Amino acid sequence: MKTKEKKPKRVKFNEEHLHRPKPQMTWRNIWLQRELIIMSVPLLLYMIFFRYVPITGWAMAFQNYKPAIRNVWDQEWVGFANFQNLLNMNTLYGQTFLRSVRNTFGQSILSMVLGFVCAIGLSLLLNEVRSVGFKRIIQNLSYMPHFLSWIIATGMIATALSLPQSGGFINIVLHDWLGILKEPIAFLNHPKYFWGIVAGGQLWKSLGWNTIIYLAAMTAIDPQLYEAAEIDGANRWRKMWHITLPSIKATIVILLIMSTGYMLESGFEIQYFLGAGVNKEVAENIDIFILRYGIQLRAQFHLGTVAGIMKTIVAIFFVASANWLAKILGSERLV
Amino acid sequence: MKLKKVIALLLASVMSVSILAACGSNNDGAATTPSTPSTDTTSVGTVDEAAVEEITTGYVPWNFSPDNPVTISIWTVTNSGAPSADNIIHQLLLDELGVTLDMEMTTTDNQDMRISTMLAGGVYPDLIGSTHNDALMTAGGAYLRLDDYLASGNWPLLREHVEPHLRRLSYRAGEVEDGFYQFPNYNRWYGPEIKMEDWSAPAFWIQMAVLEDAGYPSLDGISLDEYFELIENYAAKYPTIDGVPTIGFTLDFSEGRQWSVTNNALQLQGGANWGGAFPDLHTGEVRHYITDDYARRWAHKLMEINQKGLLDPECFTATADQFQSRLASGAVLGFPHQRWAFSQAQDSLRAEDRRERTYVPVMPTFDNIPPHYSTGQLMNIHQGYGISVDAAAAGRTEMLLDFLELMMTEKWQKILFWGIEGQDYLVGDDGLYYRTQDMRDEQHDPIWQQANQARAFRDNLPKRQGLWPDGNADSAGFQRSEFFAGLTEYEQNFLKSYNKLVWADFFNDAYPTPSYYPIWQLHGMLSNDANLANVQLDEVQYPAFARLALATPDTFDGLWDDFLAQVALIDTQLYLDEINALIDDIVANE
Repeated sequence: MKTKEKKPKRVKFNEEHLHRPKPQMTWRNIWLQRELIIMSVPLLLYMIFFRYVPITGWAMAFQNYKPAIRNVWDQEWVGFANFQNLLNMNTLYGQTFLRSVRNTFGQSILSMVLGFVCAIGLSLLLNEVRSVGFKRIIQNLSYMPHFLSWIIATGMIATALSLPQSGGFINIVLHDWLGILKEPIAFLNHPKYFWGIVAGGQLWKSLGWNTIIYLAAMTAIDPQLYEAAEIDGANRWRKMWHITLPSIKATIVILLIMSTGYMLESGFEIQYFLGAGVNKEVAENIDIFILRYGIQLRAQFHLGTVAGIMKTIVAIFFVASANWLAKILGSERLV
Repeated sequence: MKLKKVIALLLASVMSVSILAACGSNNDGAATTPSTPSTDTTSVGTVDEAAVEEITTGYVPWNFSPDNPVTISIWTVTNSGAPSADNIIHQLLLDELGVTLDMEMTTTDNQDMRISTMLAGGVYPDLIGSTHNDALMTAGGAYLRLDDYLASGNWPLLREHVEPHLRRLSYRAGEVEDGFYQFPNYNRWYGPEIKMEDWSAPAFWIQMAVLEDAGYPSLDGISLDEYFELIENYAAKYPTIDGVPTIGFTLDFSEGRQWSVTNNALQLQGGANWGGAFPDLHTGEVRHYITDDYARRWAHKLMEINQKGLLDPECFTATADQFQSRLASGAVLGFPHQRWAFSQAQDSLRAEDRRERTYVPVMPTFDNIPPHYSTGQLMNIHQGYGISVDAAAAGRTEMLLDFLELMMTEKWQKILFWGIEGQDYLVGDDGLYYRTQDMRDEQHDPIWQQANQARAFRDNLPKRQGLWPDGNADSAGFQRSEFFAGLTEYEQNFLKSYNKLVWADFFNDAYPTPSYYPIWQLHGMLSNDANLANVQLDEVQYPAFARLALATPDTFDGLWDDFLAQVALIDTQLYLDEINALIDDIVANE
């Protein structure tokens, strides 16, 4: 929408602007931007109330918190004792926490790599499909699991991975039909498969959904580029490699930066619902550690808070370094 | 353009106002404050002489009547299903007393999670029915201390219920004021205990059909090997049961029930159901048994039967519901547990009249050690209803105590545990209650139960267990005449073959236990650190047992050593020291 009343003082944003001194915050500037400022108030309030006020709960990390004393500020203060407790590797808690950090990274790196490669691959392939009907069908089929709640999805995954007599579809296919497996495998009884199950489950659930953003980026590519490449004799693989992929590079980088922020969130439900029995030690990630030792077992809220704080600090570090890396590489950045 | 700005401004202000409004509207769900009690006392006065006496001393109980409706919110831990919307007993409470029960139920396996989130939220319903052994809800300050209320004498039936056991029932771990907080839900016997089924003793259960097929072998002094031999032979003979592949042996490894697997290490060495630690039979010193040689042999046995294909390969990932539904399929031959934990499965098998697929207890031990599985039915501590501090703050304490007192009267106890005369039972010429076969069959049907019994509500309710003055037992399950009449021919034959009268006879005779028995009931009196050490031991031993059971003969020893190394990291001595101190204190105060 074009406006005739554009304020003359407003400067168009450009690259040089970054290196100039920041525009001064004057009453005049504020007045000129009043509509924008007022419009931002509700969101700002939302951020304050729901994102910053709860941080006061971090006080619990420095307390020996007892729920019976209902006020947070009346609790006994213990300094950094809770942090020392959690990071002491000679105790079971320390080792369990360390294990949960390891599980978090293992699971999330596996999921991230698998998720990125498959989503980009699938969208490249979908982009090449000429039959609109076939493309729609594949897209719809791959979206569908996204709309299942995790509790249903984990139930389906657990059943799929179980033995043939319990309806284990994967065993039925691999053992009964194809004969690849000599014996059916109770996949959930073997900890070595668990990270793979997590990554695979998350891939199955989110693959179709994740292709949407790449497909959208691909529609923005100028068709003239393809035509020019065709005239130069490029085949489909060449066009994919030299035109499609570079064109969506910015999108890929931005999504990568954003996902590093979620690196410490390797998921929750699938580990929680499937990580029973023998899988416990490979399933427990930081979120489950917080839930289990901070909340579920004996309401040790201070311990959970400590683990949560550490998670936040590491997450901030990750996003900042990914952003910095992107800057060095001369790519798009988040901030 | 001007208009657009105005609209934007308006939108912005509306949004901010609505968000602020959302922030401030958290105070809705507050409990309805009770109207002032009326002076009409008839509805409570009719039930108990002692109560009448007290009324004359000036206390005016709440007038429970349809004209004075009240809603009581309840959170309770139960494995019973939710009452249906047209539940007869709940309707009766509403029609006769004007009481609506607003129930929220949590199953045992989700209990600790729900307790912690409730403590974190700090908002409680009127009645809290927690069954957590560590008395987490009490320590978290959710319960109201009731000593002074009971001492007032205004609630004689409730007082009678707890007075003889007050010290044992009282919380004294120091997180909140020492005192009485929760009414015990089960096994507070009035008069001698009635022996029918032993609900709380652990056992290795076995399908009746297995014993029948083996020609009713003697179960006295049976070894663990012999127990599994019975199962192995039957499983080899019948690879499927009614079309379902036979599962030789399963375990309940669902959250919060894993002790049903690890505790057997104690019973197999002749210990009773002490908990995670017990006083050594020879030295008398309290110790953990999970790292001893018997525990190792038990884990090794699990590994062996898994290698033979007898162990349910999916038991370590099943939930409590899946465990019960597996039993209800009739295809499971044996498992270790306590009777209450699979009552739905047993009921459902009985309802389908597949009595040969129901289970009887067996007490195997190692090295011919005499078994001590049963210790008689133990009164629960830190399990049952108590009144929340929120209800007290809203001034509802007296009303709630009046309600519980009313539920303790003969009339309501019989309605809750026998049912409605003519519909759930008939009265014989001798005054004894009985049921027709149709009535009995109905009682086993889980769907019928939801519509006709207030199971979820009554589970944590204090019960007057024993005989009423008219000779009837507190419930049909403990009515001897009714028990015998309810047996099918198959069951009569079975009992006769073993020369037993009732199911509880399959257990050892209850032998006297010291006053500090069992140790798991002392957890509510431990410091947080000691309980934490105990929780950590659980966290280590449960997955370890799963790993050991799924191990191979080559890997077993290595895994066992790993397990011992992990246990060594835990301050188990702190736990044992506190338990020893508690035991000394209890013995000194006897």
